[in-house]
Amino acid sequence: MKATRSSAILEAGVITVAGPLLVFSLYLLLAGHNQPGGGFAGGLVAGIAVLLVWAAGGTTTVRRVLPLRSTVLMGTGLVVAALTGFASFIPGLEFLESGYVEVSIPLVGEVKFVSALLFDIGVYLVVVGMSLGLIKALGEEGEPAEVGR
Amino acid sequence: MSLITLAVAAILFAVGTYLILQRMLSRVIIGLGLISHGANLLIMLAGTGPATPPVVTGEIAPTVADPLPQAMVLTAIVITFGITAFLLALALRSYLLTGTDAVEDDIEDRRIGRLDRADEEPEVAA
Amino acid sequence: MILVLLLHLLVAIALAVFHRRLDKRAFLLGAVGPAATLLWSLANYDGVVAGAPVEQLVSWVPSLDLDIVFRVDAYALVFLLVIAGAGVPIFLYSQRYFTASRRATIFAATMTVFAGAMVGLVAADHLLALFVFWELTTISSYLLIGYKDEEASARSAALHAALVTGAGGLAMLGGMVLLANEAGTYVISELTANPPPATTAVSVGWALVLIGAVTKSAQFPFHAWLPGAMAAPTPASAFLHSATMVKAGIFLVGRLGVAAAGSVDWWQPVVLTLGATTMVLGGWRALRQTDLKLLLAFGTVSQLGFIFLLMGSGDPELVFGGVALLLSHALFKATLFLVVGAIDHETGTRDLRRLSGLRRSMPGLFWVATAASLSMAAVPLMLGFAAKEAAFVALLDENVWWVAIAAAASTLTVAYTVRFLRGAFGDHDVDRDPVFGRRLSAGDPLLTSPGALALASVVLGLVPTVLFPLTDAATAAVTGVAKAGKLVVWPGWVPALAWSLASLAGGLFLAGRSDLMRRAGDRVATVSSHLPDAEHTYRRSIPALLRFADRSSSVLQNGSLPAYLAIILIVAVVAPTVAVLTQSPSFAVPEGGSLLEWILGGLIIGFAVALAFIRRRFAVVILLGGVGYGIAALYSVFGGPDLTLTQLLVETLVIALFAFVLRHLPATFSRPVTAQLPRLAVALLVGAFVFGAGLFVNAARQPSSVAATYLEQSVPEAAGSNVVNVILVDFRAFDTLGEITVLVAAVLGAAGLVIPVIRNGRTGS
Repeated sequence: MKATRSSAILEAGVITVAGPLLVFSLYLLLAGHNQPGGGFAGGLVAGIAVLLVWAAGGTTTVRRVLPLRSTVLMGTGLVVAALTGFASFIPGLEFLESGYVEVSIPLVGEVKFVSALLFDIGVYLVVVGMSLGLIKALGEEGEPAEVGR
Repeated sequence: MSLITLAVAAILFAVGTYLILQRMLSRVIIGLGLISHGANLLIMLAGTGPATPPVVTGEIAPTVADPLPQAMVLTAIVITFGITAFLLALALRSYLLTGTDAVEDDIEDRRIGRLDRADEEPEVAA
Repeated sequence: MILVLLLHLLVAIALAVFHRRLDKRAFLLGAVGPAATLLWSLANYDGVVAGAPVEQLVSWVPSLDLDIVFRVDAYALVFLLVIAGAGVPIFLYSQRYFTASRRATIFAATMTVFAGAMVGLVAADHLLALFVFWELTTISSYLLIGYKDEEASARSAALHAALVTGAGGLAMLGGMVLLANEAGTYVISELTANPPPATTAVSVGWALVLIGAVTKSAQFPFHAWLPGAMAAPTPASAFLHSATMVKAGIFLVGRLGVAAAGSVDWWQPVVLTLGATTMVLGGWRALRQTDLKLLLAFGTVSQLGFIFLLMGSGDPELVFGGVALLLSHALFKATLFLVVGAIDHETGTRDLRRLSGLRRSMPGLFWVATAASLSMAAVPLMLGFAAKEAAFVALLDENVWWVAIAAAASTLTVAYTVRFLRGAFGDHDVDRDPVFGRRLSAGDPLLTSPGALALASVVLGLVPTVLFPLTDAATAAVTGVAKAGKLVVWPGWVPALAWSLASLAGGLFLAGRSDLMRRAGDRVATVSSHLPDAEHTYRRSIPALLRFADRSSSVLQNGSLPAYLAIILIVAVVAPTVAVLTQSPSFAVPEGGSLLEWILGGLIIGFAVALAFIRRRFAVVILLGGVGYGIAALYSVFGGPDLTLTQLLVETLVIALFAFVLRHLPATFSRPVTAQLPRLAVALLVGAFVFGAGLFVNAARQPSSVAATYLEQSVPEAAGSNVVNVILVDFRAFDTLGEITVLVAAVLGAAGLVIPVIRNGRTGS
């Protein structure tokens, strides 16, 4: 590993930007059912945030700032998406058929809770895990192990 | 459908084909990227032309875009991303291990072509 | 019927699974299959012969209209009885013939599979189902012939048989598809009821089907595999290569003969000529054999020719004779094969130059063989005589020349029958180390199995009228004509009798003058050595075929990825283009497009064309990004904000990944070594194809009803107003689930490829 090419200031600055980006990605995810956005777009925005973190200090910084395993994220996402499908059996619906409940929350008003959102959360987690995994794998600074074996 | 967009799709296909027909894996990946862009455009062209987003608020406007090609293209974009990442990893590995990212000829295939069966007469039945 | 088939399958599986525990009982278990067929046939005998076929239907692939339809009429029943009637004794015989071993058990399992396939073949009423069973018999025949797999000759013979019958089967499949397309049905009973009108396609279809039948039934010029197949253990030869499998082709021409002869003019003369040639050729070759089993094999070829000619003709009288001859042939030929097997088993040789005096040492076997031989030579009072008489009567009605040819072949039959009997059992001067048999005990299956079959020949010969209802009903089932012939002990003084007796006398004369025969045979052999020979042709054609395969694969499969891609692309372009252009399509040129589209399109085209020429890697990455962002902007014009968003984000990440990877690679691409011009040509071809396809699609566009449904249902059903997202996570969520699974796999694969080769001083990801 080379000496860190990042400075603390750059890192702090980048993380300041990456944080709001992550929040924006969650917004896209939640708003996606009614406006442009959704799990894919949200997850990719989170991926851009990870990319920014990488730019601050390579994979080392990514590992420190985002101590998440990409495999865990992707696995959770897949399980969530699949379980949403199976959950549709409980009210007697088809696999992955969605249903919704309207809940009245004080001060906020009527909120429709759609089961498809759970599925989209699964998609989101998979895409985030994917971006994180790819950036960590390909963004590694290391020297080639053995060239021309 | 508009002529210019169709031309864009066709040219993307042509350049992509030109790029995948050679041995540098990294250029092949670029070629594949162009072809998938072209294919996505074709799918969109098969839908409606320029239109308003398929977001339903009240009445369905007659100018609204066909949502199905969009859903397909969205899927395709993300899948292409995954495949591109995989191929890039493949090219990187190939380069790090062999020192080149060119796709060599398949030696086994060559060998089949050179097989000599002169002395492989089938045995004679009793 | 289906139960009977399943039983065969179960027995075969049980044999394969429990081979250790079964030992010699394997063949007893195997006999259950044919025994079930026999019971089924007898149980349904009255109804079927009375003219009420048994029908059963199982849906297999409903979307392809592929049902397994079974329909057993009297014609199929004849074959079922032959399969079962020969099968049960042969299985019992095998139990004594083989020493217990694992391989013998596998042999029993294969025989059982074969018996089941054969039952399916004759019972199937659907052309494709028939084809599947047909190929199943080919495969099991291959395994059975190659039983002695340590012998090169056995392997080669097995391959020969499989190649010839397999190739014929493929031709037949092609013919079936052609016929079914023209007739509009794959159901055999419908096809024969309404034969397709004679067009070129139908004519080719019949020709291909005929090729299948000719190869399977070892007719000239494809007869050479059958003598080679004698490398199989004798029970298999008796079962497959005389009684049942070689009758499959005859079954087919008999089943379709009437329709074919009514459809195309050439069918009847061709079938008659092929059958007659085979009949004479096989008889002649049989006379020159010294191996008893080969003698019988060529005799079988000859007899098959006769039955083929009768059955395939489509003429009711001839078919009647064919059915009768088929029954008698199955009985006497299976008997004789089993006799040879017994001799081989007891003495260790089948060479008639070494056997001597077996008449005294094995008297039981001698009498069994004599009875069957008399039937084969068509001596009066035997079943073979009654059958042949029926055939002669029918042929006389056709044309006196056909009778003359048949009588000539029958003369040869009598001669080789005598040669067989005398060679196997007679006292004669033997050339070298003579062998003598030993007496078989009365209850030995080596004796009782052929004995039972021979007894049937004798008894049925005395009362052939017992077989008349079945033969008549079978003839009526395929030709629609009842009472087309007679089966009697003694026909009275009719012209056909004269032909029968003349051939009998002639055969005896020839047998008596064996020296004359030998000289004539030598002379013919000298002449015919200049003519192409079926076996020789086969042996020559296989290496030529392999050389052709090598040459063509060295051109097509040359190991070069660009070449493969070019071939695939050219096919992908040319095939649909030809298909579309032959349909006189309409093309519509769309309007030019808005100014925004022109600007964006110009940018994208500029970036893309530059990509093809620029070799600096980082410039390439930037250009690629430019294309991606341009496309994203185009999506927004098309009303796809989701697409624009996703495309922008993906493009950014892709550029980052490209940058990651290209850090490790040299700064410029090396100059491509592939030829430029062909690449350019293929590229332009693909581009032009896409453009043309776009114009074609534009002309064919219709309003999408799916889109309307999705737009209407989105809010009420899924409570979402972004229809694209609703499609992804609700209407088509299953697809999305599959997609994210693919993504996970791609990422895991990419990480697995890269992490091990980059040294990073860390573990885990």
